[in-house]
Amino acid sequence: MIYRGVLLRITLLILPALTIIFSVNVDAQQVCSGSYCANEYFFGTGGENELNSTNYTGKAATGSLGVGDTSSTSFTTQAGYVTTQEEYLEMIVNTTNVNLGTLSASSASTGTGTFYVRAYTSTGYFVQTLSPPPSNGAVTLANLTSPTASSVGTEQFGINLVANTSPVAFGANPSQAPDNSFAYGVAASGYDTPNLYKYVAGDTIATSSKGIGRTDYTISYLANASPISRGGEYTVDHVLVVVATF
Amino acid sequence: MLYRLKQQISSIWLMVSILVLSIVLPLFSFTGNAGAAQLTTRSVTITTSKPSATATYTYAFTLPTTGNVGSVSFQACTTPLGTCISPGGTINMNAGTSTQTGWSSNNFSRDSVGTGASGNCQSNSGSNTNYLCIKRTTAASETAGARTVVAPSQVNPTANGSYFIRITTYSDTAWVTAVDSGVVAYSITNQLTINARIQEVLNFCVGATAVDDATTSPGSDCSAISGSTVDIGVLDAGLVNTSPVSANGGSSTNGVAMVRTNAQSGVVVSYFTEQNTSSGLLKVAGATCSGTSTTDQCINAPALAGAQAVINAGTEAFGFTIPGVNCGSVTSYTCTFSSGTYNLQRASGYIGAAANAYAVTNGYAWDATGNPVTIASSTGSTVKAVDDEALILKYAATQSITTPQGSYTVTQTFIATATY
Repeated sequence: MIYRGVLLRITLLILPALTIIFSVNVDAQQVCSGSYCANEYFFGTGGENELNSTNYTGKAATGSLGVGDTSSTSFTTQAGYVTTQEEYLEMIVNTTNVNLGTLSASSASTGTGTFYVRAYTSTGYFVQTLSPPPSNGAVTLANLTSPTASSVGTEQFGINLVANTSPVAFGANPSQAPDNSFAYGVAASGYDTPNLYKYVAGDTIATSSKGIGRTDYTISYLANASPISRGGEYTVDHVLVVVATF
Repeated sequence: MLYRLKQQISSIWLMVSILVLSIVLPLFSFTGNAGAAQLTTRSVTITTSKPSATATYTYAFTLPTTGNVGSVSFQACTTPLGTCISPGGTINMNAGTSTQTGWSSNNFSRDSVGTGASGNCQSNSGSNTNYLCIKRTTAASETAGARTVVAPSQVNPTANGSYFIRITTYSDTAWVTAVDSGVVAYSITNQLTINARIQEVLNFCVGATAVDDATTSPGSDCSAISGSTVDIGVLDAGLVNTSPVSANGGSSTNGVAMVRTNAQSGVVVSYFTEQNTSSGLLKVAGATCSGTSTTDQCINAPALAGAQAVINAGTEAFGFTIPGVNCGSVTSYTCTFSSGTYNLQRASGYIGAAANAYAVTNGYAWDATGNPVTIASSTGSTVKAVDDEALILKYAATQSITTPQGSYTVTQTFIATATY
């Protein structure tokens, strides 16, 4: 009789703390008093947010009741003692030059370039292409304004971000690192169909609706010349911009 | 007994409470960040990620609380939290005239100095290139909801990397009392340089063809054009032999000259006659020609000075004309001779007939001087590049009754000159 009464009281005390855990997400308001705010909550045993010496600061956790991330369609939350609230966004372009060679009216020219995006605590990001098509200073290559197959002998410039088999086998699908439970980047609509190419400056070419990891992207470039395409050296500095929402 | 049981229960309850609280309390982290709520759904969109480039930064965020907003600060740092270190280099956010949307009144203006009372919008070092400080004349009430601030003329940092902008709203106009805050991130990265080359193209060929219209392709391109002789057979004073001649030894062919070029200033096609004994007339090799006689072993031109004229049977004459521009091999644009949509225009004196009719009613011409004579050009067309348009060359001749017998021959040399 005594112990039953005690158990009831313990239960009432614990539940509110558990409730706090499940309300945490990247967009939650802080819980504040007049002088302090709590940014993160954890119910568990054994941990310290800041272990400080003169020259080092560390975080430690033992016995966390749950760790890792859990996601819905539009949100990802980190569980565990050692997490960080700091926003992070990184885009690295791995390739510096893509040489499509001498364009010909009798065969297509292709090339690839790679970049990756890593985001943390974001609710999604998108990557835009901002440059015009390659130009020789007087004219630009005719860009494909809708997803279109390669047509030898027709002046074309387009890209996609998937693996292709036509006009040749080249390109690659977006790759999640370390795996697809951490990152969710995809090629955007219009740039996500194999063997169809498009290029409109200002378009979004890659997106992620959530995620905390890294996605590696491969841009597949296609160019064709017509018999009367103007001669000269065509070039463009391809500018990519990533925008993340936190 | 009952009293002691109650005491024991209370003691146990107290110990359990102490135990639970001792687990829970250390695991809350207190930041000491009093009062400020977080801007939600926040982002910064930059118009270029190129290092040191001038860009427009568009900030979008949602105010989570209702209250006065009098000023806003944007501070670029290399980290989202902690001591702010400016991205340095060429960064300059203290520039331009920002515009705003969604606010109760879009009347923030940039303060280049950003001073006010304590807590002003300025870096500790006094350098404010990594700050954008905007303020109102008078603070205004804002409801929770989406806002934007568009900042033009921003200069990106010099180095590639990830950077963070700390946004803070203030209830006053001097950046004193913080209300809401949040951090956005952007990335400066190197660009991909795409290179390609298109070579200058001039494909020009001359040959013989059985085609005698402006629509049947004489060959898909120059690789399909062959032959070097047009034989118009045995002449007759009662006839005008007009190619293609199939009877009396004729070769049943016209001549053809096909051009493909991407020269943006166009191409000119000309010819000259090879001289034999100082004459470029159709003649027996070695014969001396007067240019007017009908008893020498030379067939005169239809008219003097290479002019175009009709050839009449029995009046010795030899020449050629271009009845039409053949579009049968053109693939990269619409080319229709009969409607006038072609790029290679025939020159005066070599137009077979008027109004884009495939005919020879205007007559023939022949320049025997050996000087180049233009017969077609695209330089005057709107589109000057030419994709395998072909000039059909029709040759015609007749003899006078007094014209001597013999094997008459002449060689034309054609030239295409493209201007890129």
